[in-house]
Amino acid sequence: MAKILIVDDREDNLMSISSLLEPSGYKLVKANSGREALKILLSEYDFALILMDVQMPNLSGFETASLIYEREKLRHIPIIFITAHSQDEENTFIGYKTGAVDYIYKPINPELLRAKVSVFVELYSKTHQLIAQEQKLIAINKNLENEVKERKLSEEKVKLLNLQLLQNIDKLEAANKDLDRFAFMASHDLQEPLRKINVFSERLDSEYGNLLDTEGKRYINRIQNATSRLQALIKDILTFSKISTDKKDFVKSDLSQLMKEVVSEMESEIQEKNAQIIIEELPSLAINPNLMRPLFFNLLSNSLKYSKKDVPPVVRIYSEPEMISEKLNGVESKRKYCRIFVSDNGIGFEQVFSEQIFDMFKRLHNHTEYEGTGIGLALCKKIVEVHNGYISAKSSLGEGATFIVSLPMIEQGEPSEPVRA
Amino acid sequence: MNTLPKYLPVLLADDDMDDRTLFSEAVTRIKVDIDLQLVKDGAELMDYLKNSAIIMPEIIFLDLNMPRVNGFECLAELKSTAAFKDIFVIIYSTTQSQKDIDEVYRLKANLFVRKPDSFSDLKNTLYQILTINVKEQFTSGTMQDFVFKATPLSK
Repeated sequence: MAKILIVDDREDNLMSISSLLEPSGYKLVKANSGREALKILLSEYDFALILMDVQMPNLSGFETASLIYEREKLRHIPIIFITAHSQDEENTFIGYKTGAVDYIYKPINPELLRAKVSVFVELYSKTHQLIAQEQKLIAINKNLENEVKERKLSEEKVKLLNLQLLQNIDKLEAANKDLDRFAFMASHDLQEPLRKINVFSERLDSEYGNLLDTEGKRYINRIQNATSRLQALIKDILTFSKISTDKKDFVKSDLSQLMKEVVSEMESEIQEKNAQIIIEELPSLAINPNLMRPLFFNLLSNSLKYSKKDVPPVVRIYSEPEMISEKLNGVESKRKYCRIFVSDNGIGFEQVFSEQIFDMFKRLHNHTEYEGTGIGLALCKKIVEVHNGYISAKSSLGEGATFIVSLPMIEQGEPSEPVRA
Repeated sequence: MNTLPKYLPVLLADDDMDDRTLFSEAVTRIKVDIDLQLVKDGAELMDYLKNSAIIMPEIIFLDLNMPRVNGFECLAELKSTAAFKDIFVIIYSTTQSQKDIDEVYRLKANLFVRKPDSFSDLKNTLYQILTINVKEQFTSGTMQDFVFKATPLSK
C-alpha cells in the first residue's frame, strides 16, 4: 500500500489530513517540522507522495522541499504543497522542478485532496509496476540469451562429436585395411618356410624312412599332419584377409545358377557321402559372385561334413523374402531382404552356440573329430557383411542345422550405400 | 669347365638356396639328360646370358621374388631382347595371386609352374616338362594352357 508523508507544524492539521486520507487505505507517516521530515527521509524513501505545509517555522515547506530534492534518492517523490494562496512564492519554486509538484489551497477541499493524492499515488504505483515489468523482461531476456547460448554450445558440441565420429570411422576403416594387409603379408611370408618343412619332411620319410624305427616314422608323420593343418589355416587367413569390399565387383547374378555351380564343384564329395542336395528357386540379386561362391561352398561343405554317421545327408536350399525395419540416423524404414536357407539333417549343435560359431577360429569340435580351421563361418559372416546382410544359425543337438543368409534386395545393379557399422 | 653339354641346356634362376638344391636333386633323380645351370638372382641371370662363352639355355625356370632384379624385370628384358626372346621361359613361383599370373602372361612368359609342395610332386612335374618338347607342346598361348597342371602320380 502506498506510503504518504504529511508534513505540517500544526498537530490539528496533521490530524485532519490523516482523517481525510486514512479511509482510502494509505499508510500515513506524520512529521511536524521540516527537520523531522528530513530525518524520516534519511531512512525511509519509498513514499509515493509528500504533503508539505508551506508555512512552517524554522524550515519552510519550500526550503524543506529544496533540501529533499538535493538528494538523488528522493528526487522522484512528488510533493504537494499545502498553502494559502500566494503568487510570488509559487513562481520562485517552479524553477526547481517540473511536473512532480502540485498545490492545494487552504481551506482544503477534501474531495480535491483525495483526487490529487490518488493521482500521484497511482502514478507511483504505475511507475513501480513498470519498473518491476522492466526487471522481469530484462531477466527473461537474459534467460533467453543464456538458453540460446547454451543451445549454440550444444550444437557446436554435437557438430564436434559428429566430426570425431566420422574421423573415428575413417580411422577404424584404415585400421581394418591395415589388419587385412598385415594378415595377408604374414600369411604369405609364413607359407614359404612351411613349404620347406613339408618338402623336407616328406623327403626324410621317403628317402631315409627305412633307417627309422616305427616311432621315428610316427614323429615324421606327426610333423606332416601339423604342417598341413598349419597350411590350411594360413590359406584360410589369406582368403579372409583378401576379401574385397569393392562395390565395383557387384553384379546382378542368378543365385540358383551360382548354387548349382558350387554343387557341381562338390560332386565327388556329394557322391562319396551319398548326399542329396535340393535347390529350390533362388532370386537374382546384385552380389559379388567371387564372394558368394565361397560362402555357398562353405555352408554346403559344413552340411556335408557335419552329417550323421549312418544317415545320408540331405541339404535343402530355399529362399523367402522378408521386410526388416531398421533405424538409420534416427529414421525408421523398412527394407526388403531375401533370406536364403541352407538346411541339413546332420548332427546339429546347441542353439546357445549359434552366435559364437561365427567367431574367428571358434570350433565346437576337436580337429581330430572333424577337420577344419574354424575360419569358414567367420569368412561367411565377413562376406555377408560386405553385402550389407546378416547371417544366423538355428539348430538343436542331433536335429540338423539351418543357416540363414539375409541379403538386401536391390533390383538395380548398384548396391545401397554401405551401412557404417 | 669344358665339359660337353648334355642334351638340353636348362637354367634355373632362384634366390632360395633350398629351392635350387631341391631342383637340382630332383633333376638328378629323374635321370633326364639335361645340363643344369643355377643362378641366384636376376642380375646374375642377365650377366650369365650375356657371357659369350656359355651355351644358351633352351629353357629358363624363372623365380619371381628375387632381390636386385626380380623375375618380372628379367622376363621383360628377356622377351624384348632379340638374342633371348626365343628362349622358353617358365615362371617357377609359389605365388597364388592371379594378378601375378596375368602379369607374366602379359609379359609373354611361355609357361607358369607353381612350385610343388612336395619333393615327389617336384620330380613328377619336372619329369613331365623336361621329357617333352616344350616348344611344341605349349604353343597355344591360351591362358588355359598357360598354368601347368601336372598329371598326378599314379600310385
